[in-house]
Amino acid sequence: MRAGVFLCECGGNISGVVDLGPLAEHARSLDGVVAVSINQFMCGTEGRALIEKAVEERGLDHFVIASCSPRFQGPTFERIARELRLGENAVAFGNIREGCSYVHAQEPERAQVKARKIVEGAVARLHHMSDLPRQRTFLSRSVLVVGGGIAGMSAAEELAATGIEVHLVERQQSIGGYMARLSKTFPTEDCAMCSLAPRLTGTAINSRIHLHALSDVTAITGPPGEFSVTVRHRPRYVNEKCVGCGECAAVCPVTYPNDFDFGVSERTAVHRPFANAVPATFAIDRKGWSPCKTACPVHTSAHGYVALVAKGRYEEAWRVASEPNPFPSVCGRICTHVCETECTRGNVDDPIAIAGIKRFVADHGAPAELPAPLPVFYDEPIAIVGGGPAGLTAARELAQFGYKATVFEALPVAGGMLRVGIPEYRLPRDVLQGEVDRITALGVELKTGQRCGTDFTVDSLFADGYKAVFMATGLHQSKDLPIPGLDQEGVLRAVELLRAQALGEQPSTGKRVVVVGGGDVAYDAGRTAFRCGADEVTLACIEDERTAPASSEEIEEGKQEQVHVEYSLLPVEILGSGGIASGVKFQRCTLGAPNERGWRPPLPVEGEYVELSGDTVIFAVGQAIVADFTAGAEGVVVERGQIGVDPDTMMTGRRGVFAGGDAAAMGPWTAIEAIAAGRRGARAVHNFLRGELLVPVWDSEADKVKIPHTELEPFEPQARRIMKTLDGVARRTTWEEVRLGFSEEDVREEAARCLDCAVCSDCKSCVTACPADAIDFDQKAWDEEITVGAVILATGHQEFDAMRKLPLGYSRFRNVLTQSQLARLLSASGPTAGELKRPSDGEVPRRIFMLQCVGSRDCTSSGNEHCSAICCLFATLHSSLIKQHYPDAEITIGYTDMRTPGKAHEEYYRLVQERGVRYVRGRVGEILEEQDGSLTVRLENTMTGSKSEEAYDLVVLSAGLEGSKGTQDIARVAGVQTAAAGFIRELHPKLAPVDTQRTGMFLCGTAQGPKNIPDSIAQAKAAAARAISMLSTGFAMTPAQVAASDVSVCIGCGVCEASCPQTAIVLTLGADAHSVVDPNICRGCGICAAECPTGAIQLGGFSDDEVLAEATV
Amino acid sequence: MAKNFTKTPDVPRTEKGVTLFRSCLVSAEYPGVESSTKWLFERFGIEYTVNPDQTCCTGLGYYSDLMPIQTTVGIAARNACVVVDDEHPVMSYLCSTCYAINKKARNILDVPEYRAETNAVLGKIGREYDDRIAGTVQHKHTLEILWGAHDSVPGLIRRRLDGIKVATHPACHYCKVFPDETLGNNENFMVPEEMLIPAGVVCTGAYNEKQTHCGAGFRQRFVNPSISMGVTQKKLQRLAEEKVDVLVHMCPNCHVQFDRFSDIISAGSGEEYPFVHLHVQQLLALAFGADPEKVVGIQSHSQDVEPFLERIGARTKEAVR
Repeated sequence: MRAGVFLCECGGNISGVVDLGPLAEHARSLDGVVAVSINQFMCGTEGRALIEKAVEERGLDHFVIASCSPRFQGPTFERIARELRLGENAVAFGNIREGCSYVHAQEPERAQVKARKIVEGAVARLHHMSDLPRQRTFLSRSVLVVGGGIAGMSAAEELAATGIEVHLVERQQSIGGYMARLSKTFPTEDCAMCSLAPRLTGTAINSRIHLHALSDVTAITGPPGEFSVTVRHRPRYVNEKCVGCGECAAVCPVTYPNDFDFGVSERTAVHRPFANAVPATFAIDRKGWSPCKTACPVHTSAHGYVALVAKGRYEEAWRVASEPNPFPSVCGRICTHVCETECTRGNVDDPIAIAGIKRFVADHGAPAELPAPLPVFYDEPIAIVGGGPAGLTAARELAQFGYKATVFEALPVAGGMLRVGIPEYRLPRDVLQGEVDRITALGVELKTGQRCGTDFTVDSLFADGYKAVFMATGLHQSKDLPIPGLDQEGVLRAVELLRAQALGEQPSTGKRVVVVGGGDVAYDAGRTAFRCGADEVTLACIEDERTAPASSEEIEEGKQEQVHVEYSLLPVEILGSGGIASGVKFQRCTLGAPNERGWRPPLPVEGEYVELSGDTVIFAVGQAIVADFTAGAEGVVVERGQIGVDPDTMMTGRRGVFAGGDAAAMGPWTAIEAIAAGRRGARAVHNFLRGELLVPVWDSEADKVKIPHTELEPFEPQARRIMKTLDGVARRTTWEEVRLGFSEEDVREEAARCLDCAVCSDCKSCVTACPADAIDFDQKAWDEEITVGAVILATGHQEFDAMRKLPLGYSRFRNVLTQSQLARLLSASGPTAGELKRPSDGEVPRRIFMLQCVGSRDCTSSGNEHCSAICCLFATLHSSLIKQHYPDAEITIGYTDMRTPGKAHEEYYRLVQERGVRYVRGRVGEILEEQDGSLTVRLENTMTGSKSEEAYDLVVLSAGLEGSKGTQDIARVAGVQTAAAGFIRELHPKLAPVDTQRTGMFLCGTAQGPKNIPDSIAQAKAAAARAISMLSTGFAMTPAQVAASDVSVCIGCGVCEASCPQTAIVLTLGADAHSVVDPNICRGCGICAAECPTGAIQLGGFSDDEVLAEATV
Repeated sequence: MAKNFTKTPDVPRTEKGVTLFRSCLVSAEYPGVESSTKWLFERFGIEYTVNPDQTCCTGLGYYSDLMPIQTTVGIAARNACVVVDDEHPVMSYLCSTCYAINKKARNILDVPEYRAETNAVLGKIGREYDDRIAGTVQHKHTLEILWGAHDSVPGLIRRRLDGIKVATHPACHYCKVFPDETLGNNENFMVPEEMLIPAGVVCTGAYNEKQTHCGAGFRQRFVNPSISMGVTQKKLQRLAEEKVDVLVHMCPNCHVQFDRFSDIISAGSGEEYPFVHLHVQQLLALAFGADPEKVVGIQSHSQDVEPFLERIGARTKEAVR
């Protein structure tokens, strides 16, 4: 080795502390050193000449530069070595400035010793340095720009102008970003949209810019120059046929805070953010399915009809409620309403009274006329056995598919358990009959008094020409318990009692009734007993109060009617004498652990018995199938009390015979589950007869919307409307309907409590209204893979959430706004057409206070430490605009320090002062809202130290800037670092301000930090220039300082792969698995080398030998 | 708009091991607060004890400059030892001063030299505040324990409070001394109101001057009465504007300031403050059907609470369902 050592004085920065003469002498004595020089600035042309001369005259093959940190001038000397053909790893650096003279300026002796060691180490390292290979990589001449604000658009246009293909991905519905929402811009006070509009248009029509709006970048993989990008396109639910007429928005019942206007106005679920949006197509804000819709077994858009009811549109609401469910009136009365259990509003206070609203819709929104018969398209007649909710629903669905369906019902009336299992005081007969009539009006034939197995059989149905049979026979007998005394007079069964009563018989119950059971049927039997003449009804069940199985409505209404309930009792014997029952003997019990079906068996408590006396005992402990239909139905098997079916096809063991409802249950035995089963059965029959899967048997569910706890916090608790009922005791003697329904006023107020948690309610009003047939609810999110050479991140900022500063009253007080909201109010295209109207009363505010540094320059846990850079001039701009439009306005700006650097900014500040805006240096502790809507501002004047309380009409908070959610998301996807407040960290704050830690990824605009519009544009163009310079040659060389794996040493443990922050390392598969480093991606950080347990991975320029040689001199 | 409300996150239920930390102010001024709390614990099924070895927290003495901090810390350390040894290490404070001073002592006792200094004294009575004690004892305002059981509230309501407008007076020594440890939002403490929502109350949430203290200021009530009462009056005025029916308290010192002096301030100012002051446990117990005298101890109040009790049906047996 022939090495040179070049010592730099750094203009005195080094030589002022370290005596370079003795250091040079020492360097000359080191092994391999053949030349030593000292220069004032080694990085200058003289320094380069010195090196060239030494290489030429002394035959150097390596050299040491002892100067500043290699982060500053490392590339300079590496380039010199490369140009002198010394190779890629011929220079070692000794940092005797930052590492020595700077930190030991007051102790030169120690600095001298340290400098000797540093130079010795660098020379020792040279002995182990060998040339490093570099590779040529070809680059894709296309760039991904993430974010369509002013920075993203500027970068995209600049790139496109050089012939580079640009993919511009925007998360929002339109490009334009924050600037599109501004009124005017400082200091020139020109219209923001007027400046922006040409750029919007230019971007839209530029053939080299491929716009992906309403899209997210979800993955970026591969090496710089050939990044593979996954773009997820979210559905707009409005296709390209949209002509922008706005008819859809006119009928949309959902109003939501308009995010484009920062909440100072409302918009509909289908909307376009602003008139000249790009793209101009409307879109539907649809987060998924509301929890109510997801929970409903038939997936009724409860949200849809609730939203329509809130607007008083009852007929449309009925259309939504009845579309999947032919029994909206029934379900509005007796449904178990799991929709309410899941309702998001329940996480704020109480769930929306969805069932009550549905009942109102059915009672007041259903058309008076019956529907016309539907045309029959298919020749195959279909038989449905059982005219309950499952069978009748299947019949309606099949009629809608185009089949002729015939329903065979064993009883003399249709409706199944709805008709003969639910007492009239809960479900009036005419209500049910009205909905049955709507089904038969469609062309469904109903044959009552026809019992399967007796009057006909499944075999005879096929023989009569039916091509498929749907069995929905229900569970029409009570279960018994194996206890003594059941055959005594006075022992009744609930199902049979209720049926007898419903069919017009006058069943007799005694005066004192004991009902065994605690579910809805038990309550129905007990309450029916009252109406049949009982004076006293006691329910006894095995469950305790907390696990009682009846619905809350039954329990509450039972209480009102003075049904007495005894819990935790297991019946052991019916008491009586002479064949006449006189009561029930129970044993106390607890409930055991649930079995695989969730049922908890009773565990008797030894020796604890209770006797309840009564002249009538009614058993309501479950229902059972009446399996007489199996005669003449070979292949239809009843097992464990249920007809066996394939859940995917709903088909029984016999081809062409399907089953559903309580008799073939796949969930709880409820009416709504039976209706769902009917829908599934009809689809299954349709698929079977057509020989292909035309419709899914089970609904394809969309994602359920879940609102985070934090977003529910601000909602004001509101009481749920309570439905009026008949008087509790008086009604025991009447069959009149107990629950009286909501009044119109109550139902609309109750519906207005809905949080619109999915935004779009799926009411489909827009589908009907759209003249261009552009609404498409079948759109799905889809992924697109694109390849780009470079990436520019321009995802912008978001306004600090001023709600975090609770004492300032933002969002609590109507007249406390942020500057962004004020910008919308002052904008000619804003909700007030540029008129300043305070939100509480629409009056023009006269006294206005603007508070600076809200969430900025704030060391508390709820704020940010940084200065947001634009707020002083943002407030100044708005003050100026207001003063010019409303000269009488008195505006005070409470500031921490006024910061107005930048061209013409200080002048503008002075101008606005001269316009009469008052600037007060002060901090606000609290803002109070007075009853007239005015605001009391408590301010500490930090100039005078005095405190004051002043009244204002409007307060505007200059909320600071934070990295947007999109910025934080893209940082995660791209693998770049973020700094405080969520801004993306640049590679070097001074020397590489638009580069990121990842090669080929650049950043600009407020994603990098707070800045104004011209600075964002300048930075965007700088980022574009960086991308252009990278891609202009069409190829690039990989860096020398990258990691490499020695296959012979690697054990394939994968530690390096897991540790690499750049995802540059992959593990090969198979027995000889080993790691492979992609030099295109590797940034030479060395983490993998440090983590590698065997030393297989070595970092170029920092091999173990090099580092140890330097460190152990 | 009008987002005056914050929602408090759920916390794990405390089933057992609770020491009801008796408060001298509660015992002397509003014993019904303690009896209501015991009554509520029984309804919620929370196992608790009252330890006769527990002594006063001495917070009043310390904050009134009558007592050095070392004494207060020593007493706090002793009380911690007592409850841990009794295997009821969850201290349930009725008073926010007890809560804050014991937590402050907890932090001081984490400093080795102060702990050593304290243990030098405790050693004389055979006790030591060591890592076992420090790691076992838990300091909780009673509201934190009750909030853990709030899911049970709807099933326990026996007397509806429909239409009763309640506002919370957030105790400074709970919300401001350890703001990061406050349950929910320390700037808009909502737990008392949220506990009562199932009874049908109308909540106030944030209101003007909510964060303003009660005015008591320990000895300030006596040495600077005009300042003390001025602060109280300002708050009373704002609550009157809100048309509240009950200001719900969580600290006996605040409770004293408002209940004992409301009528006095009213007489002096000529203003009406037509609402009553109840500790949250008292109002919750009333909603659960408790007897106004035997459990809630309403007879120790200075204000006339009778009209309110009649309004909620607490004077008629039929109202209790």
